Amino acid sequence: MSETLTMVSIPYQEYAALYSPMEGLARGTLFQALDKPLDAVGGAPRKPKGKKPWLDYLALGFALDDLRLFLDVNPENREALAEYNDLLQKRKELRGRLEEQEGMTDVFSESDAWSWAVTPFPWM
Amino acid sequence: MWSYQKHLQYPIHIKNPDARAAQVIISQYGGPDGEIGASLRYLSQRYAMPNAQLAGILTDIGTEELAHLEMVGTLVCQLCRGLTPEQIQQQGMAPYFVDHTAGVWPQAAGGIPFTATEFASKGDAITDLHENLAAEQKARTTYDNILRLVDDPDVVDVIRFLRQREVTHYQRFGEALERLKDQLDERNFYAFNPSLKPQPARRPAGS
Repeated sequence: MSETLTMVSIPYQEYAALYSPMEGLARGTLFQALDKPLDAVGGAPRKPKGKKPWLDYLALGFALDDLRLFLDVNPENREALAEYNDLLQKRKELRGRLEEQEGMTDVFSESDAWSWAVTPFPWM
Repeated sequence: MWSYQKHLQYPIHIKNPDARAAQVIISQYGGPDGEIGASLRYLSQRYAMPNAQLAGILTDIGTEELAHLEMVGTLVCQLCRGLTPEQIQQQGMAPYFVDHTAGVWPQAAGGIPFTATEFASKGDAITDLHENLAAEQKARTTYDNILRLVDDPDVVDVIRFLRQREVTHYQRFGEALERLKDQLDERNFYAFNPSLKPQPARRPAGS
């Protein structure tokens, strides 16, 4: 297939070597094999900044975003699916704790006080 | 349909306002290779995809690009926050300020308004996936150029993140194209438009 004329080919990525969710967030990908920084910037990226429960929640959300794209084109990969389910469970637990402390995270959050359009939006 | 998560995909906390940086970064909001174009291009192309797998990757990357649009809007908003009209003038932003104040409006760095011609939805899955491979590279180059023009680490971190997402999406669109090729005749990929001849959804192995 790779020798077919009149068509480009891109190799499938093997499922291997993940960064932790926080390291992945810092680098912009969970997959070590896809991490291709610009020379002109140099050095390892700094750790993302933010309040603790939120930052962990963002990191888990990002890891799921990146794994989801991998699974869309590699739906038969059981290892990636197991990792997805594991991170999903961790995010669910954190979401419960976060909502107790900080209020609603999305419009499907159960709450005894309407905090959705009360607490600041992300650019504020 | 969509539901909103009340957080950015990557956190942004700009401490130092900088209208010069805002004026180049806004190109990734409404410029030729910016995030509005990316998100609505992919979401619009979905209707011509011959199967759920291709519609799925376009939905998920298109949705992520909407999150990037919000991040770029946040950068522009925070970089302009607290600037006086004198500072706006000194930092070359008066022509934008007179029409939009410090509101976020979709334009290229050179002031050209966003145009729907950037959506590039051709109605042929092979063509659209090639378009997207090129689009990711063009956005990556724009982020490369922004990284050559800004030096505040609070801004650099965010642009680095967004740039790496383009590289990752390029790989995924390439794999999506491979999946499509698997369903076509390699002796002639162009025998028919796969968007006009629906193909059965590819099932995962063992199902």
